[in-house]
Amino acid sequence: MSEREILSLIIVEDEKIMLKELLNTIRWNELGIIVTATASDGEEGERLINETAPDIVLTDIKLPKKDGLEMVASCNLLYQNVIVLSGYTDFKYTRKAIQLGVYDYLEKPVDDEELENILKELSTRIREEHKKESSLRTGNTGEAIKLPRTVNNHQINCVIGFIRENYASPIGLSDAAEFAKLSENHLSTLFREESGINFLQYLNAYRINKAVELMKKEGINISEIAISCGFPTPGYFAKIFKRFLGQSPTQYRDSRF
Amino acid sequence: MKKPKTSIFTRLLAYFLLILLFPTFSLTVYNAIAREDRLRDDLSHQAALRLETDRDIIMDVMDSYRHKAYVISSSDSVLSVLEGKNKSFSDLYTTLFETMKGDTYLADAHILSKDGSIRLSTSVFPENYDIRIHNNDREQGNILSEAMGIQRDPRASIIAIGQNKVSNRGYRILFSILRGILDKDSNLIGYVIIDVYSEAVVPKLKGSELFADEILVDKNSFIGYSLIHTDAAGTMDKFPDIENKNMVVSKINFNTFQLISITNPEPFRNTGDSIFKALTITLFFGLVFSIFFALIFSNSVSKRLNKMIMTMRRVEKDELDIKLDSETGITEFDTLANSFNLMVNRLSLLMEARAEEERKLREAERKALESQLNPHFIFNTLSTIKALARLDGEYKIYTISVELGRLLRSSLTNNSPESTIREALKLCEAWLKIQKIRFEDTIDYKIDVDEETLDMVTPKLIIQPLIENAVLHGLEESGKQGCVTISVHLRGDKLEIVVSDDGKGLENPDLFKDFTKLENSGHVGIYNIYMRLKLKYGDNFIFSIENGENGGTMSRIVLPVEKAKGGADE
Repeated sequence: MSEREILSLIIVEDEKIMLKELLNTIRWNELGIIVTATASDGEEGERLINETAPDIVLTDIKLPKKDGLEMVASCNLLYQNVIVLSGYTDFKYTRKAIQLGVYDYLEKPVDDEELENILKELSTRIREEHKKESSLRTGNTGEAIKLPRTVNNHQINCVIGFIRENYASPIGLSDAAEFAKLSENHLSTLFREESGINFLQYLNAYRINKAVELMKKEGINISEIAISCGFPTPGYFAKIFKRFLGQSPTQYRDSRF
Repeated sequence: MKKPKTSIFTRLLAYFLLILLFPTFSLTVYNAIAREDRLRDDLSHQAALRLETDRDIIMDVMDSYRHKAYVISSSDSVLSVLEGKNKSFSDLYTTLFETMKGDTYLADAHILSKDGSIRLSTSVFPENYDIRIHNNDREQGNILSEAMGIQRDPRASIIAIGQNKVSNRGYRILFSILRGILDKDSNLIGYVIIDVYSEAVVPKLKGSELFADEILVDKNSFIGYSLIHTDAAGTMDKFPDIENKNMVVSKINFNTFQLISITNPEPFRNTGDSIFKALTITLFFGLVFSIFFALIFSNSVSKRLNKMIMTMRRVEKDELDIKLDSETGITEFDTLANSFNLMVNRLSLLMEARAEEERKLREAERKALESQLNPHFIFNTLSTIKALARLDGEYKIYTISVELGRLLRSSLTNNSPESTIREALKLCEAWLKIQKIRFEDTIDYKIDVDEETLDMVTPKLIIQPLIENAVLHGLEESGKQGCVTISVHLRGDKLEIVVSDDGKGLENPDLFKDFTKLENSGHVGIYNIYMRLKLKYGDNFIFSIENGENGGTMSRIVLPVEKAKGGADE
């Protein structure tokens, strides 16, 4: 294994041949990305995202059951980790996608070279973010991940307060944005500027801190901890936990307590 | 603030009536204010004139009978009879009748001796002149009693009002004249009395139709005699009308008598009535005429207007092949009709033009529908081709489908008149990639671009035609291996775009010395670049196409630098 972290990616695409082409022709290995799952409609996509917490989502905009943007909106996922593929007549969606702050969008027929370039850029960024996440480790169990409690911006302080109050519920960026009366895009940028990490990272880190606190108590299994801390699925919890603290939740508990 | 709606007819009628009513009304007012006084003045003036005439007539009659009395009283035959010298009355009667001539139906003459023993008359001697009976009985109004009772010159005549006495022959006596008969020694020996009947005077009078009453008044006895109402005579209390303000007085016989007229108010009232009547008639006819003329005028106007309205209605229904009569003889209507015709004419021309345009558009749309495929389908298909090509390792097909997609998308969706160098070069490259595959790598391309120019803006599609020109004219025709080079550089504050090839070069370089001449040539694409640059930059640009130093063609465009708004949107 090289030094770089292998990232997970989910493809949501309803046309089988396109899916096949993406899977077979993009040089995933060279990019250091593993396609962990594929889905052919929005609902399936949503389920997979919540279960596996992929680092990147590559999705068609027009999908059966739930369109790509709706799907992303209802997941614990940042738009900035989403790459959108759009058909000719999806211009309205494309514009909305840009407004929501997706990482990039590509029009079909997709220039694979372009797609690879974009994937490369995005994975580089995500890896940096993950490094940042692991750098927040404290090593002790009192506060497993070091998070700023206050920043210099009042609105972001409010959002941090909102996270502290509601971390146990399935909240997302859209809820926080509504709470702070900011656009999602603006909140996302502002949050990163003020706290050094993005909103979702902060939320996840806060939840993990809470989870570590719960681990000290006996008799609560990992799944229960995951759900009670607001994680959508235990799988998701495990994935995030490992990203932040370098170990799976079970390993962590066994080694510490 | 909503104006009430009225027809032309009503308005005209209203105006006519106003015009009619104004003078009528002023006349009425004037009449009411001034006319009455003037009429009254007129009337009294006329009354005075008539009264004067009547007075003269009465005086004439009085004078003539006074003269007759004088003639009788001084006649010898009368004297001789009264002095008793002549017992025969025949001469006297002769004188009497001669003097009275044929007037005996207008007047009676009576002769009476002082003692009353001799009584002669042209008719029957009236009893009340019989001194024997009435000697001391001073009956009011009896001229004889009056003559005897007053100490006076017996030769002078006395005239007295008849007091409605009726003669023996049944006539009303208007007045009586009495004259004493004197002998040579001026002793009174008898009287001559002439009773003048009203018939002697009344028929001659002129005032009867104007006057309500005309009264002869004796100022001594204050006895009056109406010349109009035959039953009215006597003291003043019998004439209550005398208090009337329309009374006019004229003196007769040195103020012994007065002729009084009482103006009849009726003619005056009649004048008032007749003015009122005239007004009513004027108003009535005025109204009739007003309605009549208003109808005629409004008809003449509204007939034409209606015709116009009908015509306009037809125009509303898109009938544009109609004309209004512009020879109505009324200037305004003719002008209106002329403008209307002109308008309809232009409208129909416009409609024709539009219909033609629409027809063409529909034709174009039909053709487009027939020939054009749904873009969505095209892109999906391209996408599928591309996926299949990739899966099968057909790299050229993959490239063509991706680049074709790029070119199509740009031409279908990009409506902006400008593009960044980045976008423009991407499209050029797409086009070149496809051409490269088409010509089996006999052509190649190089792109040499300053990074800082990528977000600069130029009118779109100015580079691609130059490349097409270079490939299709410069390289393809040469048949050998060729290369197109696109270089975009920043030269001071100018952007320089050069497209060069190593093909056969220009056969006729002079052709591109003046781009304006290329409009109808085979180089219309070049002409279009030039015109668009000219429109946008005026003279602030350079555009040249010439043979390059190392052979081939070199196209060069130099433009002022222009950054995209808000930087790159990529």
